[in-house]
Amino acid sequence: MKLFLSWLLVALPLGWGVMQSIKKATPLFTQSPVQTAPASLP
Amino acid sequence: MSSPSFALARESTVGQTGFNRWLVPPAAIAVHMCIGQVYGFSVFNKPLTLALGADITKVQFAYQIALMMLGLSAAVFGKWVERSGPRKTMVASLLLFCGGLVLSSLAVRFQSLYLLLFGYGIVGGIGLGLGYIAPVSTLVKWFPDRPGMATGMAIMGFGGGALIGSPLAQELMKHFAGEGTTGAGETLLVMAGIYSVFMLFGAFLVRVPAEGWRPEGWVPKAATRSITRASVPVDTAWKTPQFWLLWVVLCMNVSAGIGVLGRAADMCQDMFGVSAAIGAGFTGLLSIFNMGGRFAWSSVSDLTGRKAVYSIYFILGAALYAVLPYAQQTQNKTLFVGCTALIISMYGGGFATIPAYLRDLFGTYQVGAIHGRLITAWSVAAVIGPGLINSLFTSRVAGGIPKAEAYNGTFYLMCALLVVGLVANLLVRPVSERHHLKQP
Repeated sequence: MKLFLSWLLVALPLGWGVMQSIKKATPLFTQSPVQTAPASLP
Repeated sequence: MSSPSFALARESTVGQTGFNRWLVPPAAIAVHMCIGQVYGFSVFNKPLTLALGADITKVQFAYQIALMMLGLSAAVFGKWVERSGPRKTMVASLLLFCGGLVLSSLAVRFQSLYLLLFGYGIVGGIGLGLGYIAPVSTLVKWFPDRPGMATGMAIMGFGGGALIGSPLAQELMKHFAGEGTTGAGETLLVMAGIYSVFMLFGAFLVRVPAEGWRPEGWVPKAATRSITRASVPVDTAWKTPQFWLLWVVLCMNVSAGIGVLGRAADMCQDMFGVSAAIGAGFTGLLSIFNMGGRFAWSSVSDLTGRKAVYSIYFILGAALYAVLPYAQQTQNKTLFVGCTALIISMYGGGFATIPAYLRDLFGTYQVGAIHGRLITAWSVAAVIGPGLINSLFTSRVAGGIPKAEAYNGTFYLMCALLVVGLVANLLVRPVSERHHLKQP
């Protein structure tokens, strides 16, 4: 029980952090990739 | 009843018979995921700039001082950490790191930039260094059969600290922001409280193994060419060529990784013309690979050996960097994202594998202190890495090269740094017996 709770205590915040990053990364896969011209193009 | 000072002493943290060693990794992760907040300091840039009335470079200076102090304090206090044991060190780290956050909150209250630099940079930075090395040698001793995996777990926690620290600070600032306040001061204070609880949990959960303890059923392999069973004290270790070769290995690996990490969002936008939201998303994705790579690569090193895994980091890393200009020329974003994610996973892996590499070469005797001195390579890389990239990028743009293509030169520079690291890694040989500690 102690082992499970100890791991849970660190897994929960880490899992929350990972979820936040996945949420942040979502536009990378969902938004239309090219919004503006690359910097090299006129 | 035991006095508080006795409860913190190394002797009172010896794991009794039947103690489950798998309780030690969560203790280490708890501390590392708190101090990893330093990676997410940039979310305070704008609020602190407004609250203190200082420009952004001065505010960012607090972060740079903190990273510098991390390396310095780890190097200076390494022997004290070994002597005092992990619990006392974790409590000291808590007091300094969380104390630094409290002082930063007061800096907002009194609008004092110097208090921020002193509090977050110096006091908090020393806490970072102590917290970073505190659990490493303990984990190596508890997991002699899988040292790479064990240290990988703790150092993964440090990578995870940024993933937690940034959104937590943003949510808290949103909550506390009001008329005439950015909410930064209150946020720093609340974070100090939350982190104190987690670090205290880690400090009281941690145990050191009894002298001569070994995992049940595990028989230590005979010393091989690459793994010693001898002990090398820190004062001797740092005078050996092996120490300095590993210093170069870490410095080059970190410098090359920071090349992408430091400018990830801008790079993605400049090279592919994507929106700021996608640029931020790219940074988020890299953070996950940075964290995951620490555990994954470090665990792989237990199977392949440390020298082989670092050779993979350098050879594969250089090859991937060499592909990035092609990805830009063909506007292949999937290729770019895939390559950079893998590069960043190896950047994280480099941090996590180094303690096990040190154990292989110098033994477990003072591995924490040796690790502490080696971390100065990180502090140096944190300065030279971004410095090199920014100056090369700026000079190429000034020379008329379009921004999208200006990064290509920096990628080749990263390849060169990785080749230097590879050479240093290949030159690593077992430590001469004359440096081994003589058994009484």
